[in-house]
Amino acid sequence: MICNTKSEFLTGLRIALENNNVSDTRDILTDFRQHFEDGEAAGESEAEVCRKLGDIDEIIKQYINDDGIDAAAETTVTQAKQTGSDASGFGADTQYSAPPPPQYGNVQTAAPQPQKFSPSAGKIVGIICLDLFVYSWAIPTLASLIISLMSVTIAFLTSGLAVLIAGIMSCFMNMSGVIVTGFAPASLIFLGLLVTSLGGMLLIASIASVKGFVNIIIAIINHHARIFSGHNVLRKIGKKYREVQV
Amino acid sequence: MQTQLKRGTLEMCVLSILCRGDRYGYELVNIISDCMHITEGTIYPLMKRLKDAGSIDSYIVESQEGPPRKYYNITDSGRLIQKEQEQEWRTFSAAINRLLDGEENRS
Repeated sequence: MICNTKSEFLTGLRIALENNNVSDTRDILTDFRQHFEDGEAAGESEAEVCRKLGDIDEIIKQYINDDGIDAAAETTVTQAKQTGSDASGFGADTQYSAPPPPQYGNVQTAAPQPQKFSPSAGKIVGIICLDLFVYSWAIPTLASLIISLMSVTIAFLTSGLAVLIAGIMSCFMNMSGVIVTGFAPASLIFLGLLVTSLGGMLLIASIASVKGFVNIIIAIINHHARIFSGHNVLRKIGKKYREVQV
Repeated sequence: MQTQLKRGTLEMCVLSILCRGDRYGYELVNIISDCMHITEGTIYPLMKRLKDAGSIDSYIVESQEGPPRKYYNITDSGRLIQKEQEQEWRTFSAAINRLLDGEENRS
């Protein structure tokens, strides 16, 4: 997965390291955090550092090679990717069975070990509790806030436009027509413009909040997909959403 | 450049750089990426692998500004490995260059 911010990268990396049972997670995260800080000190943006660090899956694969599955297994993945078969995605949780091809340099060879990864019971309980909170409180609350913001927006826009139209009409009807108001036409027009522009600002705010809401939901789905990456169906869903986001 | 070829030689590059002095992660990554295109994130797994193998070691330096920094230094066994790899590489690349230049029949 490709990230744009330091926290996104570090969180993604931590989850991937934990899911793949890589040892010394804390040390590894410290190294990367330091890298970000040095990058920022050198004037690079977080997005730039992320881009140069590359794909988290790619980094994780290197750590897994380190912890048992050898470089040969990874070659198999790379080749499979090139031929277009489905070895992409969460990389490490694919099962390997190919014999190790010859190695260049003195990379140590060991027989590829098939590894299975599945979420622990603790993680499942944790995610269920989180879901209860998210679905029963956070999402409804956020949704109702957004809906009320939207209705206020609509109210402002329509009433602003109505006052504006009334102002314009009263110009032509010389205050003697259908619309009788106690205001001068000019002040009505200005009032209408003011309320409409307030409504416009609210409209921008509500569009932004709807976008944020959708992003939160995508983030939750992605998080689930990562936690349950051992499961085939969920892995596919996760992959699909990742592609959507990228 | 081909990933396989790069991966095989990256270890040698890291050891060679550390032979000339201690470096911290970001510094090391930049020295290498100035010379060739690498996925920078893969240097850290390599450092861990080298450290586990005993070729390099690391130590923490407290800094006045910012958090402490992790420096890498080469060990004696790392130096031996580097020497061996450099020798191998020079012989190998000389042979490849001869083949590429079509000079295999001369000398």
